[in-house]
Amino acid sequence: MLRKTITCLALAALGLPLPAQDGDPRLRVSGFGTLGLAASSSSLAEYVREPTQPRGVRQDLDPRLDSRLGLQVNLNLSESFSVVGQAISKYRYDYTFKPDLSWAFLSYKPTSSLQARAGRLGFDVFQIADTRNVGYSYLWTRPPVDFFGPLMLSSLDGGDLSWQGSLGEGVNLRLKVAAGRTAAIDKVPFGDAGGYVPLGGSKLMGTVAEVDWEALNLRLSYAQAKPSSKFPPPITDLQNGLNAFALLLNDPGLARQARGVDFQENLFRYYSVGLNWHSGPFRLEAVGAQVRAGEGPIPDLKSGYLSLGYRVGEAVPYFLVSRIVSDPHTLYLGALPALGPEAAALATAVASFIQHQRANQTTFALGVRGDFHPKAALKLQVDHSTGEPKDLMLWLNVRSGWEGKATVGSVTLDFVF
Amino acid sequence: MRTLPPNHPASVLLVLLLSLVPAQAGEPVIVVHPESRIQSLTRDEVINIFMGRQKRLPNGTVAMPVEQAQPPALRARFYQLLVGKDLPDISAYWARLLYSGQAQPPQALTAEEVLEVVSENKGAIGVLDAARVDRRVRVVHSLTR
Repeated sequence: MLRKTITCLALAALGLPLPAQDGDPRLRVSGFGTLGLAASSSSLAEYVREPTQPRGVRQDLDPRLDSRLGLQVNLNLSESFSVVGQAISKYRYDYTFKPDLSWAFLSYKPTSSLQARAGRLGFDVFQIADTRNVGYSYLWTRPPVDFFGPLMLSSLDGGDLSWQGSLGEGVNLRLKVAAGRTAAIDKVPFGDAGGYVPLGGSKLMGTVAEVDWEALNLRLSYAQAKPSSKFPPPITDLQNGLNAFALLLNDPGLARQARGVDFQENLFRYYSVGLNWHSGPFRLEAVGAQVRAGEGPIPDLKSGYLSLGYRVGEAVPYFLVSRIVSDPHTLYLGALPALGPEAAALATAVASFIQHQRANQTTFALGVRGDFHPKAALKLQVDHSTGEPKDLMLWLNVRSGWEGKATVGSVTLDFVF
Repeated sequence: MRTLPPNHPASVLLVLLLSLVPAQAGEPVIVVHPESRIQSLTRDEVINIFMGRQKRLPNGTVAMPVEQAQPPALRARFYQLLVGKDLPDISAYWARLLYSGQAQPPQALTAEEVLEVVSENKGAIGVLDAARVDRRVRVVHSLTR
């Protein structure tokens, strides 16, 4: 009933004739959601699912980490043209659940194997990256944070072109190229007053090759991003400070650090390889990625995860291990730390900023997914993370005494409708 | 033959064992419009269409996949025979394709609706219990043969 009402409202809004009966094949209104609760063993640092969350989980049960709701409209205009719109409500940079428009694109399928899309698209160069909010579609309560933490770009304003074809013998190949700018909905909270670092507007391009053969799926991908957003004052202050001292001390090394701090001089390159094997009750997923941050003090990253599951009736117990490593880039500060209190304070602030771009940790998780209903699943998961306490990319509001260790328990109800 | 009393432990066990076997699953077959030029489809072609990889039939017509949703045992048997996956895994698979905007799952219909849609649309392709097949459709693939 609710869905019918939404369908009629959507059709009316689009100025289309209302369907004479249920099940108009031109229009599909559907949705997905997760109700989640999570708690951590530590109150010394907050566990976040993605860097766009302004607060994380401490020792109290917290529904904000995993809960989210999405609504999607698919409108088939003709045999070759269709339109897809999707909005997602989740805990975001400004402490609210205000919905964002995640997809709004026109799709054109001129032949059986070609598809072109333009508008706001999911950036699916990384495994499951464009469905990371659809809990029902994967095994775990959330995608591995060690892997997806730094890969936060989700929506692209631009276009993509994909080709899909059979190579015979049950082998299928999919090739895709995507280019555009990151959508303005990706924002990382900064400071306490609802401020943020915008990730939108960065030039982004990527390509992916995917092979399906029986139960096996192999995926190779590459992406590059050139940040172009203007950062808020605390970061530009660091940059200006470094530049001032670079002039004063005639030290080009400091000027190079200043450019790196701003991100805008950096070309980020992402390489990823993934394997997925799902046969009968067994499922295995292994993904590795490397992020190269270019010159400057932002460290290169390597990350990956391995997931194993086995279906027993309606339940799938699983094991997941994930790991992220930051290359030990040396931050160059020249004579700054010994140049008086003002310079030393700047050196400390720059070093702290860089610590927030670093992560070194391993997480082991055990869980179970239970498909108790054709459109809903209940999941339980326990994560145990051990990491370098000085590296702060994946933790918020760290207090003294933090040793980089925490156990996080979570339960989610994932559904589609 | 001596029959066991209904409350005998052995007959309880027998009932439990029988309930694990999808007794009335039926035999899923793939049907198209009777005037379609398609005479038969390979297993790969059926997989590509019903798993959302190919959007057109081998003759170039835009595919309109539909499936008989009841009883669930028929669907379960279809996907088990086709790709060796259980229904919850198929639902999760389609959630990924649908919500990434890549493809839309086959429409879930009753057997009679499958017959109607397939007999009225040249591009329609349906999963149907073999026992429900009549003159309105043509069988182009059988999963069990």
